[in-house]
Amino acid sequence: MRVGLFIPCYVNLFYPNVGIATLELLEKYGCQVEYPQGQTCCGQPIANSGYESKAKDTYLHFVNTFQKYDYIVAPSGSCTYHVKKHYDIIDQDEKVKRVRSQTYDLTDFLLEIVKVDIADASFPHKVSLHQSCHGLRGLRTASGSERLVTPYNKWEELLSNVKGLQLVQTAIKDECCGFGGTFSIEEPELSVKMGKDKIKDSINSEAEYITSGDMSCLMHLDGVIRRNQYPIKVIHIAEILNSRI
Amino acid sequence: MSNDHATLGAAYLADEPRVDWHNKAVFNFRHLRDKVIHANMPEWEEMRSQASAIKQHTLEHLDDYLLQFEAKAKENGVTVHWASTAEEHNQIVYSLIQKAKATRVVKSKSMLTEECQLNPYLEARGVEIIDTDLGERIVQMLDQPPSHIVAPAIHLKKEEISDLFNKELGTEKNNADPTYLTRAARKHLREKFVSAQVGITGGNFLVADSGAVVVVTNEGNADLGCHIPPIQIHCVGIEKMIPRWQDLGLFVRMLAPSAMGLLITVYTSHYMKPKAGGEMHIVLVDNGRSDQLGSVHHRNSLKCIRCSACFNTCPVFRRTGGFSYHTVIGGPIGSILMPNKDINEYKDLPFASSLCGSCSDVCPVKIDIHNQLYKWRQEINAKTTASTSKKIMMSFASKALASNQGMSRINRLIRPMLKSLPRFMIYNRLNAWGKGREMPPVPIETFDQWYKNNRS
Amino acid sequence: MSRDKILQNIKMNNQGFNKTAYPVYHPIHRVQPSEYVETYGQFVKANRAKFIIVDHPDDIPGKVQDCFPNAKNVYSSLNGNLVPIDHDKIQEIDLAIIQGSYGVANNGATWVRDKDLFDRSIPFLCQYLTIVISADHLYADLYEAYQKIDPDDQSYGVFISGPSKTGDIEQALVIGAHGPLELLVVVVK
Repeated sequence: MRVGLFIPCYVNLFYPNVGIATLELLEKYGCQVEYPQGQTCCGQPIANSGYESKAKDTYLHFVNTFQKYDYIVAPSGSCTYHVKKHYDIIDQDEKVKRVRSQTYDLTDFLLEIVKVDIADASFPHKVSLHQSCHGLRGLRTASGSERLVTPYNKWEELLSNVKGLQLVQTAIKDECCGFGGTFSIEEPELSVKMGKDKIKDSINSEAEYITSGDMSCLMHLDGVIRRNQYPIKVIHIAEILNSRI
Repeated sequence: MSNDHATLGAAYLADEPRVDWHNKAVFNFRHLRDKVIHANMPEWEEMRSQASAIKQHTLEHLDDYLLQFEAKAKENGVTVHWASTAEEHNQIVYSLIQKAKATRVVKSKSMLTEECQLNPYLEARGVEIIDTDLGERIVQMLDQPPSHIVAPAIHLKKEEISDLFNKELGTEKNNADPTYLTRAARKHLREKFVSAQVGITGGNFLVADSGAVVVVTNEGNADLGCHIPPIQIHCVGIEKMIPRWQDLGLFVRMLAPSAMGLLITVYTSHYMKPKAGGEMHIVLVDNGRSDQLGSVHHRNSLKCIRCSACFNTCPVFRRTGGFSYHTVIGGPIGSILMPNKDINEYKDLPFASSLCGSCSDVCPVKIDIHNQLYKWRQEINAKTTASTSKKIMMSFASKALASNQGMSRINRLIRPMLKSLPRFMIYNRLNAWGKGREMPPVPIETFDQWYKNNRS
Repeated sequence: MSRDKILQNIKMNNQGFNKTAYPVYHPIHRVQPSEYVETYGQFVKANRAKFIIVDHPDDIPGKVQDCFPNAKNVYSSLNGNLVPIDHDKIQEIDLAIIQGSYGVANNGATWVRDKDLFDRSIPFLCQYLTIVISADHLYADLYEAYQKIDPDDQSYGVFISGPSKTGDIEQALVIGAHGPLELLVVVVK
C-alpha cells in the first residue's frame, strides 16, 4: 500500500520530529511511505479566515500532489478534516473525490486501515489526552461528551496499549484548547485563557504530558506553557506511539 | 471596530477571577444537561433527529402552518396580529395598551421583545413596563440587557444583586442570601402583578393545529401575568411554530434539559382561549425571519428553540460573557442569526469562535452552528469591507501555498526572523501570538530538509 | 398588509427547497403501567414537591391538613365543584386544593386545566398548592399525556411539576419564586 505522507506546514517548519515519528511508525507497520516534495498546506488558515475562494488553488495543489497514492496520511485531525469537509468548493472530479476519501488522520489510519495494536511502544509517564476538536467532532475520532452514543475513543484505544503509559482524566473531558487557527491571533487574550484553563486542568490531573493528534493545538498550548513556565510538557501522539525506552 | 467581540472580550478577560466564576456558573448548565439526559433519555439522539426533521418540515410549510394557526386561534376567540418588523410589533402592542387605557404592564421573559426593544418603546410613551422574571427584573433595574437568553442575570454576583435590592427594594444591607433576596422580589412583584392592566409573554411554541401558545417558566410569572390582568398579549416569532399538539411531547421534553438541565420546567403553560371576561392577543413577528428562510446556508438556524445549550457549552461565551456579543441574542446561535440582520454591525461575530463544534453537537434541533459560522466568514469577506491588509496577506499566502516552492519560501522568510531577531523585536505589540505565548522553537532543520538529508 | 407580506415572503423564499413530509415518529414508552404511581411519586419528590397516596377521597382533607398545619385560609375545589371566590380574595389564600387531570409518570408533572379552576390565577397566587389526581389518570410520559389531552376541550392548561422556583441569583436554587412556596401532590388510589 502506497502512502503519501502529508506533513502540515507548521509541523514541517517547527516540529520535524513529529513528522519523523509519523514516517517511522507508518514504515514500521509495513506501509510504503513517500513524502512528496512540493507539498504545502491544506489551505485551512485561508479558508477559516473567510477566504476559501482564494484557497482553491491551494486545494488543487494538494490534490495534484497526492493523487497518485492509495492513501494520504497526516499527523493531524484538523488538516484531514479540512480536506474531507471543505474541499467541496472545487470541482468534484474523480481525482478530487478519491483524494478526499483516501485522506486519513494518523490515528484513524493506524486503527482502521493498518489495524495495528501498538504493542512495542513504551512511554512510562502520566499523560492527559487533548481531544482536538476537528478530530473529535469533525472526524468523530471519539464519541465526545455532547452526544448520547455508545462511548468510544480511538486515541485512547491506541494509547492504552503503550507500555507504562498512564492515561489521566481531566475534569472537563473535551474542551477546546483555544487555538482555532487564526482565532488564536484574532482573539489572543481569549485564546490564551482557553489554553491556560486546558493546561491547568491537565496539571490538576497530575499529568506530566499533554498529548493530542493535532500539533497545532499543542503548539499553542506549548507557547502558553513556556511563557508561564507551567510544569507540564506537550507531545504529539505519533511521538508516543513511536517511542521506546 | 472598537466595540467588536475581540475588544469587548479582551476587556472582560482582564478580570480573570470573574471570568473563572462566570465560566464555571455557565458550564454548570451544560453539566446538568448531560446528567439529566444521560439518566432519563437514552434515545436522545433519535429525539434530536426527530425534532430537527419536524422543524425542517415546518419551515418548508411555514406559510401553511401560520394560516392554520391563525384560523384556529380566531376560532378560539383570540385576536391574531402580524408584524413585519420590530417597529410594527411595538406599535401593535402599544396600540393595545392604549386602547385598554393601561398604564402598568407586566412582562414575563421574552427574547423577542428584547429583540424588538419593546421596553424603551413603551417607556418613551409613558407606559410602566415591568419585567417579572427575577433575572430580567434584576437587569432591568440595572438598565442592562440580559447577558444570557435563559439566565439573564448570570453575569451578576449575589453581592451585586444585594446592593441593588438594598437600593431599589430596601432590603437589608449586605444580606446576599439568595432566598432572602428572592422573597423580597416576590413581594415586590406580587404588588405589580395584581395592579397591572396588561400582561405580556413571549412564547416557546406555537401549535398550528390547536392555536395554542406554549410558555415555560419555573417562577410562575408568565401565568400570574396572564391570569390577573384582563388583557394578555403573547409576542412570538413566526419560527416558533410546530405543526401538531402531539409534537409537544417531543419538544417540551427536550427544552428544559437542554436549557438548564431540568427534566421539565415547573410550569408548562398552554394558552388556547381568553379567560372569562378577558382578551387574548397573539402578535406573530417576522422581523427578518422570512428573509433568512431564503438563505441556503442559514435557513436552518430558524429551527432554534432558544434553549441556550449552545451558549452553555461554548468556551468563548463562558469566558467573554454575554455582553461581548454586543447584541441581544449572542452566543453561538446569535453569531449566525445576527449577521442576517446587519452584516456590517455583526461581521465580527462569526469570527468569535474557535470553530470547536460543540454547539452543533449539543443543539437539540441539530443546527450545524459551526458550519454556519464558517459559511458566514466567507460571506462576510465577500460582502463587507473587510480589512484590506488581511485580504492581501491571504492572497499572498494562497499564491505561495499553491506552488511547489511555497514551503521552502515561507521557511526562508520565517526562519531567520525567529532565529536571530532579538526577543523585543519578536514580541512586540504587532505580534498577537506573542501576547501570552512563546513562539514555537526553531528546529535545526525542517522536516523537508530532514527528509532530503535522510531519505532521498 | 404585513400578514400578506410575511406569507408571500415565506412562499418566495421557500421556493427551490424540498418539501419533506411530516416525519412519523414512534416514541418509546419506558414506564410500565404497573410502575406509574411509584415512578410518578419519585419524580414529584425529585421536583421538590411533597407526595402522598390516599386510598379514599375522604382521606384527603385530613392528610393535606397534616402537611400544611399552619395554613389558615384554605380554599378547596375538587371534582368539578368550582367554589366561587372574589378576585381580590385569591391572593389571601394560604392553601389551595385543586384537581389535576393527567399525571406524567416519567417527570412528575401534572396537568391542571381551566375547567377545574374557578379562576386561572388560583394555582399561582396561593401560598401553598395541593393537586389531587386519581391513580388511573397517570400516563407513561409526555407523549402519552398529550395524546390524552384534547386541546379543543380546554381553554387553558398547565403542566405543574413542583413548587415555583428560581436559580436566577447565582444559580442558587430557591424554592418559592412568584408562585406557591410548596406543592403537595396527592394520588387517590
